[in-house]
Amino acid sequence: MIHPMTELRFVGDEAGYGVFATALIPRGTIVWALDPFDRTFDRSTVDALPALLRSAVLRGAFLDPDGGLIFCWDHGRSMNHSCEPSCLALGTSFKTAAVDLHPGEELSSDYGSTGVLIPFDCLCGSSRCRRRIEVDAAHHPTEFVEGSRPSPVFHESWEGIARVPQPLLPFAAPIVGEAKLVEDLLHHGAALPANKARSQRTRTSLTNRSRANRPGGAR
Amino acid sequence: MIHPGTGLRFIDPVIGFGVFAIAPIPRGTITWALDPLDQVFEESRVEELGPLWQDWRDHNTFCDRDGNRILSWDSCRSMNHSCEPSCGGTDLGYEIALVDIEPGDELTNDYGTLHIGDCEGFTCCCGSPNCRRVVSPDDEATGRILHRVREALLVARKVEQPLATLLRPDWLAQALASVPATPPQDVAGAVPSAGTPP
Repeated sequence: MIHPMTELRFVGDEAGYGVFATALIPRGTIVWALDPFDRTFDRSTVDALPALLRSAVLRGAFLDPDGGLIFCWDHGRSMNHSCEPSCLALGTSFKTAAVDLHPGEELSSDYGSTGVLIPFDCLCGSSRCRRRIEVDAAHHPTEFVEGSRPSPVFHESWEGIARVPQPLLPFAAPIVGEAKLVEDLLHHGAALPANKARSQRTRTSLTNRSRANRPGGAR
Repeated sequence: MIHPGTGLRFIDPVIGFGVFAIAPIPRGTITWALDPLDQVFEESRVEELGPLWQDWRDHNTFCDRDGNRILSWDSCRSMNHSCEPSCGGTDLGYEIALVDIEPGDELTNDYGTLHIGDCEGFTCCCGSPNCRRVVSPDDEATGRILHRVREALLVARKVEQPLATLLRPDWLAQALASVPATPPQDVAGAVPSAGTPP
């Protein structure tokens, strides 16, 4: 579920719609949480859908570490990519605000980190723009969490997470249990710089799987 | 799924968003069809999740005739009510254009024909000359809309149906059987067949 203080707004013909803050969303706020009505499809289920629906899922879904396609029920799936995103994926169940988001500012994430299904040429205009965005194990949230690619802004957003209101936590709670959730979040944040060796292994397997799941790849 | 020739548009802070045509959608076109990405679940599922989710349910889902909740995955959730709607359907798992909808026209339906509970009634500001002001479950409106749905179904074969792949092969026959027949004098000889105007 996307944060309640957001709305869809038409950005332009290229990007389509985007998600924008309607009130101040402080850094560290969970802006999206996996909820009981978001669905995870396996690839064969998606391939069996009528073409109209298949393309909607492939455009809107992102990959979980097991190769499942997470398809949000709400406008959470309209969050656009930026190579300098305002939000960060924490695992596949959460995204947090990496900066203070003021009313009218766009919520964006790095599709490399959320497992984009259809590679595309980026027009984000950031000085750090990677131009071509595709499934990128190096940017996958598992790698973020396990510290293979620690980013200063990522650490900062963790610091805020326990201090700011978290309106989405109760909606995510039915899946994992609220107390455990907060504990896990804080634990992951604290563990960020460690586990380098483990993350290397994960990256290899993730890359293989990602290739297999690329549209038109392994079929 | 909502007709692909539509887009969301922000109307104002009171109404919020609405669904608008970006291409011509002739009368008889299926404008929405229930599909496998829509979620249908029992009321009890929401109750199990707790009170927080009841408000969510009221804002995001609607009821079918069996009392199940339907959560649509796309912009059809933003379709607004009108007392003079451009689309209609009720229990059939689809909606059909009741009029020729031009680019820029809004796609609307009559919430009185949906399975809204008494408590879900609301004050209407659609501005139509036939506005009922207070919208609540309304059998009269349902009968009127069903009649127009049937008329639209009779021309359905003559128009392009982008959502046809989401419908059962026998959807039209099934649909015609499920809406009350128009008085015989109105539809004499009007059994629809491909390329034959009613």
